[in-house]
Amino acid sequence: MQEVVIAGYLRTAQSRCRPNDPGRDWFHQLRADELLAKVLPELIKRSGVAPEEIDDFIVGSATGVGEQWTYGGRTPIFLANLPNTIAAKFVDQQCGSAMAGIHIGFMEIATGNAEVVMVGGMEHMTRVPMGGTTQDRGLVSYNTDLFLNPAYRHWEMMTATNMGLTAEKLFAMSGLKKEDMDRWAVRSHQRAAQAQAAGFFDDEILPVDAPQADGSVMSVKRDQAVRGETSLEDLAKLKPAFKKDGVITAGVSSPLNAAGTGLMLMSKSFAKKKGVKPLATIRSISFVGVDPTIMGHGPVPASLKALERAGLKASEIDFWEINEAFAIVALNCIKELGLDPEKVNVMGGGLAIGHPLGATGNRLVGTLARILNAKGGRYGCANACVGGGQGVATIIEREEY
Amino acid sequence: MKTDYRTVQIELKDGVATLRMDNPPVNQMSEHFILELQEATRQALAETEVKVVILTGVGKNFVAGADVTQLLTVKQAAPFVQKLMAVHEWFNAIEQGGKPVIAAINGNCLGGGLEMAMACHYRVAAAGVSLGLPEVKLGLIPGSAGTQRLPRLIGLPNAMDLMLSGKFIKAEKAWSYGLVDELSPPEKLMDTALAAAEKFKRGQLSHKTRIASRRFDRLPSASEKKNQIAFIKAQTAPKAKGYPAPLAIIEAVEKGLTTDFLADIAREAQLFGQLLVGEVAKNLISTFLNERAAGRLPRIKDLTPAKPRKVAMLGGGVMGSGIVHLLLAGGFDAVLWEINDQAVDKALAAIKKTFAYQIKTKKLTPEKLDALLAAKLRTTTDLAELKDVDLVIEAVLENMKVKQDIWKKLEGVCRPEVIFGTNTSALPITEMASVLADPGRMIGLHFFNPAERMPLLEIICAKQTSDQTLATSVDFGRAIKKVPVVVNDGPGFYVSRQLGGLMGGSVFLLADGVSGEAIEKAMMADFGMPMGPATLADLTGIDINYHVNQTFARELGPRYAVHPLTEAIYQLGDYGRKTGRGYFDYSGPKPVPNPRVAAVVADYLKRHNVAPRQASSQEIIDLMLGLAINEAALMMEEGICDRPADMDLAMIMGTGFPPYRGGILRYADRWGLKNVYQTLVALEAKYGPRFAPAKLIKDMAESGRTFYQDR
Repeated sequence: MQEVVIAGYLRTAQSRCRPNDPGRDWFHQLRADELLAKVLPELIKRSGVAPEEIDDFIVGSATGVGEQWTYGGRTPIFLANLPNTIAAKFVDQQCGSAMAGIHIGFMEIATGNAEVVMVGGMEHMTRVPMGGTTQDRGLVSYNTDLFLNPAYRHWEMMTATNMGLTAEKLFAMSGLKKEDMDRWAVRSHQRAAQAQAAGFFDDEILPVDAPQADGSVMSVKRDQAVRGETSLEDLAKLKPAFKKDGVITAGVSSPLNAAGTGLMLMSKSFAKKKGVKPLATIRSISFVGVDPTIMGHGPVPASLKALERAGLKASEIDFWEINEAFAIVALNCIKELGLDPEKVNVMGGGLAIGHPLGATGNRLVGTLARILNAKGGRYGCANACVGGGQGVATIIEREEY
Repeated sequence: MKTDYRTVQIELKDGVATLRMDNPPVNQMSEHFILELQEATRQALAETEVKVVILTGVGKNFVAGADVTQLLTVKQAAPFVQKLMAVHEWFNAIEQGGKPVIAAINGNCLGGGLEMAMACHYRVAAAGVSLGLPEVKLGLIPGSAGTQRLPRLIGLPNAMDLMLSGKFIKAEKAWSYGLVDELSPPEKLMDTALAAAEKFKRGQLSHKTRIASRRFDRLPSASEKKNQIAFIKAQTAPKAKGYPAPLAIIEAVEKGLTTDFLADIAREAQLFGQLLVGEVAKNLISTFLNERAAGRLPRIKDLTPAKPRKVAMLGGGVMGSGIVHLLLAGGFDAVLWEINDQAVDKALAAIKKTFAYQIKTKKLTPEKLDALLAAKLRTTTDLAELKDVDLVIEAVLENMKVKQDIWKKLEGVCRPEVIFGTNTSALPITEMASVLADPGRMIGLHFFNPAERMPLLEIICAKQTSDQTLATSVDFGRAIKKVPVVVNDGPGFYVSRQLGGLMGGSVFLLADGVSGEAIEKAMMADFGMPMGPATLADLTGIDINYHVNQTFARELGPRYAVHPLTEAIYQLGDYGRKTGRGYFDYSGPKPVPNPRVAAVVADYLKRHNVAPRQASSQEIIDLMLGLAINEAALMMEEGICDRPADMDLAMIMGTGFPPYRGGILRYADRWGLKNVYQTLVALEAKYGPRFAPAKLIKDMAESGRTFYQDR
C-alpha cells in the first residue's frame, strides 16, 4: 500500500443561490462546470505537478443532470483545456460526492494503480435546483413505487427525500433544544466571519470574475452566505421551514450555494520525488449506510469506522470538520461521539460558509488540512451526512515532510 | 361567476374552472376576443371556489395567432406597444396569479396562442397538433413575451431555431423539447388535463416551480450566451438580408434573458412596435393576406366548384411529371397519357424522380411510392381511355395544331362538363379553345417549373372560359396546395410578361455603357431578386427570349420592338446554359462572364460611340422597376389583370420576387406614382418608346391614387 497525501486544495468562493431570484446569486451567469474549470489549472499549478502527470480526474456533484452532466467527467477537462490523457469519471454520492472522489482517488493511489489523482466537486443550486423542481421538470424521476407501493412503505420516502424532515426527526431523537441549534448557527457565522476577516480563506479561494445582473463584473473572492452580524434574536424569529410545528428553520439549515472545488492527491513517494510539500496524509476513509429518515446521523457511525481503521480514539483528533447540512447534524455528532465543541468547525461550518452539495467534500477535507497546518494540529477528521441515508468520513494526519 | 361571454365558455366543477375559447373560425386573437378572455381568466383567478384553471379551445385550434388584418392597419408604434404591455400584464397575471393554470392544447397553438400557453404552468397537448411562433414570416417577432419565455423553457438554441425559422413543430417534438409537459390522445385531452389539475390540487405538482419567467435552469451561462449568439448571428445574417425581424429576435434574446423579466419583455414590445410600423412587416403581412385572398373573385363567389377526383395528364415530360406528382400527393386518381409506350416508361421514371426528396428525407419509402403509383396512377397511350376522367390537364408539345387536334379528339371522348386545362406557357388560349364546340370548358393552368415545388398556379381565362370552369379550376388549385392567381389571356399571360418587363430594361442599360455585372449586382444583391437578367436569360434561353420578344412586338406593337443589341447577342448563337455559354460561360467550375458576349457589347458601344460608364445601383433599380411597373399598368389597361394583390403575389410565388418588398405594385405605391411617372418620362426621352408611361400611371400620378387602398 502506498501512502496518499493531499498535495493541493483550491476552490472558488461559495455564492449564495436563489433559484427564485437568480440575480442575487453572484455566480448566476456562470455554470458549475465553468467555475470548476477555472479552479483546475490553478490547482495543478499550485500543486507542483505537470498536467500530463495526472492519471485520473474524479468529479462529484449531487445533481448530475442538466448542465451538470459531464460526459463521464470529461467536459471540465475540456473546458479547462487540460491534456486529453487525463482519465475521468463522474461520481454521485449526493452530499458525499466529492469526498467519494477523494476516497476513490485514495484507493487508486494506495493500490498502486495511480500516482496522481485530481478530485473535483461542483454544484450550482441556482442553475440546477435540488429537489422538487428537478422532478417537476423530469430531470430526476424517482420510481414512484417507492412512494406508493405498500411493499416500500417502511422506507418513509416522503421523509427520506426531504432533508428538512430528516433533520426534524433527528432533532426529535437527539434530546437537544432548539436554542442549541440557533446558538450553533450564530457561532458558525461568527467563526466564519472572523476567519474571513483574518484572511484565512484567501489562500484556498481563487477569485473569479463574475458578470452580475446589473451588467457589472464582480471579482468574487469571499463566501457570499456568511453573516457575521446574525444574532440569536434574529434566528429565534424565523419560522419553521419544513413543517408547521417543526423546529428546523432556514437559519439552522445550510444555505443553497454554488461553487467549484478541487483537491490534488498523490502518492507520498511521488510528492517526495517532485519536491512537493503536502498539506496532509490520508490515514483512513469510511462510508456507511444509515436509516434514510435520519440521514443526519450518518457521520456518527462513519467517524467511528474511520477512527477504528486509523487505530485512533475520538479524543485523539485535534480538529473536526463536520458538515453543517443542518446545525443538528453537527450537534448530534458532538453529542454522540463526546467531542469537545471547541475542536469542531473552528473556522465556521456549512451553515455560514455554505454547502454546495456534491462539491462540499473537497471543502471539508481541504479546509481541515489547512486548519491542521495553521493551528499545528496532527490528526483531523472530516465527515458529512448524505441524503438517502449515508455517512462519509476521512481522517488525515499532518506530518513533517 | 359571469359565464355569458360570447367567445369563452366557462364550466366550473370540483374547483376546476375550464375556459373554452370559441372565436370562430380559428380562435384568432382579435381584439374583442382578447378582452373577453382577459376578463374570464382574471375572474377565474379571483374566484375563491376556483382552485385550478384549464384553458382550452373549441374546434381545430387552441389559438391560431394574432389577427393580422388588424396588424396591417397599425400606423403608430407607441399606442400598439401600450396594447402589448397590457397583454404582457395579462399573461403575467395568468402566470403569477397564485393558481395553477393548465393549457389543454387541443389544436394549432401558434404565435400569441403559444405565448399564452407558455404563461401557463402546465401544457398538455393532443398528439399531432402544431405549435410554433411564426411571427418572423410576417416580418415580426413574437411580441407577447415569446422571445423571453421560450428560451427559458426550452433553452436558447432550440428556441432560436423555432423563432428564426417560424416553423411549426408537432406536439411530440414540443414534448421532447420540454415545451409540452404531457402528450395525450386527442380524445382524452380533457381527461389528461383534469388529471393534471388533480395533481396540482393534491400538491404533487407545484405551479410555483413552473413559472416560466422565473425559470433559469435552461438559460446559458454568460460565456455560453456570448458564443451561442455569435454563432447564431453568423448563421442568420446572410439569410436575413432585407429582413429586419430575425435580427430583432436575436437582439431581444441577446439583451434579454436577464433576471429582470419585466425589462426583457418591455424591450421585446418596443422591438415589435418598430417592426410592425416598418415597411417589411407591412409587405409580408400584405403578401400573407393576398395569399389567403388569391382566387377569391366576385365572379365565382356564389358558384359551387365541381370536385374532380380523377384527373388525366397529357404528356409526362418535365411539367407533366411534376403535375402528376401533385395529383398523387393530393390524393387524386391520375391517368397519364403519352404518345407511345416508350414515352410512358420515360414519364414513369420522371415521376418517380420527382419523389426523390421525399424518399431522401424518409417521408416516403420506395416501396410505398411503388404502392402509391400502382394504386393511384394509370397509364395509357389511347385518348379513348380518358372517358371517365373529371379533368384533363395538357402539357404536350408547344404547338397549336398538335394541341388543338388532341382537344378535338377529347371533346368526343370526355363528358361535357369535364374541364380542359392547358399548361401552355405561350400559346393564346382563346385561339386554342376556338376549335371546341364548347370553348367555355377550356382554361389555362400554367404551372411553374418544377411544378411539384413552385407554389404558384397561374390560371388563365380565355375569352370564352365559363365561370363554372373557373370556379372549379380555382378550387382544384387549392386542392393541390397551389396559390391560384387568376388572369386573362394575352401574350405571356401575366407572370411571363411581367417578368419580361422587370428584366427587359437591362438591354437599354447595356447599350448605354453600363456593365452587365453592375446590373446583376443591383438586381440580386441590392434589390433581392434570386436572379438578375443575364442569369435568368441564360437559364430560360436567349433564343427563347428573343422569340418571345418578337411575338410581343408582333402582337403588342412597336413599343416591344427587338433592341438592336438584343438582336446582335442573339445572332452570336450563345443561347445560355443549354449551349454552355450565354451571358456567362459555364465551362469552368464557376460561371464567368462570356467574353464573346462582352465583345459583341463592346463592338455595339464602339459603333454607337457610347463610352462605358458607371451607374449606381439606384439608377439601375429605378430603370428596371420603372419599366416593370409600367408593364403592370399596361396589362391592367389591357384587361389581363386587375387585382394588384394577385399580381404581386404571383410575382413573389412564381419568380422569387423578394417577399420583403411586397411586390411590384407595393413597391410602386411606396415609391410614389408621381415619381414613377416622372422617371418614365425621363427614361422615354432618353431610351425611347419602350418607356412611354402607360395612361394609367399618368392618371394615377395626377390623381394621387395608389394601387393598394390600405395606405
